[in-house]
Amino acid sequence: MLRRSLGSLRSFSSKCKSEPQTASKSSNTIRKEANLVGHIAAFPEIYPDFLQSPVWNRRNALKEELERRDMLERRMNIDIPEFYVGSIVAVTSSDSNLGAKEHRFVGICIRREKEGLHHQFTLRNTIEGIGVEIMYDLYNPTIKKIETLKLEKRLDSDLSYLIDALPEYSTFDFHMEPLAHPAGTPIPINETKVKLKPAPWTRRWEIFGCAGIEDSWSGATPWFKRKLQKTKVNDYEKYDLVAAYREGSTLEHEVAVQKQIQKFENERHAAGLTRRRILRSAAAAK
Amino acid sequence: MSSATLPRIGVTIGHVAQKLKTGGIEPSRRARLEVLRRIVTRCVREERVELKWNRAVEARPYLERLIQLGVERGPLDEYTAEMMEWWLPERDLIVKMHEVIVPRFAEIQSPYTSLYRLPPKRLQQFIQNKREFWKRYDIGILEIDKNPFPPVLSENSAKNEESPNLLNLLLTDALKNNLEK
Repeated sequence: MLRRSLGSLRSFSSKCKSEPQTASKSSNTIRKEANLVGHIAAFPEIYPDFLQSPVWNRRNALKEELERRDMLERRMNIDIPEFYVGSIVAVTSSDSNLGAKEHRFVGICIRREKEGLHHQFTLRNTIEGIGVEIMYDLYNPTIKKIETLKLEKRLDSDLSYLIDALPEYSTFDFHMEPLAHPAGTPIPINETKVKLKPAPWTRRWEIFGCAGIEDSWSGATPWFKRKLQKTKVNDYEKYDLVAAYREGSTLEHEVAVQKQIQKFENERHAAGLTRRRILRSAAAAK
Repeated sequence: MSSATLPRIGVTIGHVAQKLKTGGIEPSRRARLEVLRRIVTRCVREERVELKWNRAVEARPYLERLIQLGVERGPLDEYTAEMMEWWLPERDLIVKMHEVIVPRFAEIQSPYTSLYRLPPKRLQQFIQNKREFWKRYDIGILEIDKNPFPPVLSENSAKNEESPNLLNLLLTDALKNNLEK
């Protein structure tokens, strides 16, 4: 037994990362595992709800696990299609106070935020000249149906600036026919650059460096130019590698979650309860 | 596949950024990055550097991530190229990174760097009214693995046999005796 304990001590010390010289000699296993699982390259964009919180001290493995199970159960009951910020989405939700008992809203997805069961997305459209934004909880049980009418991306991952753009950029037909995306082709990027209304805006869009805004500066009047001079330029922050690492997702987490989803799907399919698939990627489909 | 998510880095990393003394530069987040950039540049050039402990701890994940970007994505990736250009302002270091350092770690998992602690140094600051003012500094060594220098730790100390810790000595001896029996 003691012989074994010494052996285990040695084997531990050969892996322990706090012992620099003996660590770091293992080959790259996670890449192999990712290939084996068939890891979806666009996982963080397709499933932002399955990622971890960017704030590290809010991460809780047990909470995440429990929430993930609830999310998978819900996804077995409702078909949640793939959509991105910039896609045109229709949501049908039930509302007992309406005569029709259900409400359908069509709009461009301008934001996807929060992780886990609290994941939210916001749709924007212009109705009778007034901009309307509706924030939906993705896992709200009153949502009956989510459809992607047009699958595409924009130049930015947050289109909140559409609130200050001309209304033509956020006007979409409620009776729009869904446009099928050919499987296996990359998601098209809509390179529209929007024109903003004259300042004042709700936020100082010129300092966020949004790629999808066309020349916000030259249209401003001298009074606003004086007022909105560049003061808070922090474009160096993109070079903070570790800040980006802290906020971003890791391959280990994505592979583990993808494995869990696949296992869940296989169990349900084997039980003959459903044929619904949760894990889908239009760009990676064959 | 080049823009796919990267694996975790194999070094200890705090959940928030620590403040660093920026000596001379007005303290800000920019100044902190500037200090870290100097350390990373120096480390890539010299491969083993002696620093204040807290700076070495802060700089290590940056160096690690930079090497990981090179290993996982290669020099042709847009993001990698941008980061290399900013973090290594001297052109020859970018070439060294891609041609010397990255090939060492191909197909090997992180960590690619090591951090050792040296005994604290006491340095005299100044003398005022015949009184000497001393200051104690915690010192660390940050190095890129597989460098050409002799190892920091000897073979024995890496196996915990030269440890000055009494508990370690007793445990190693006890285990040895038990094995001989």
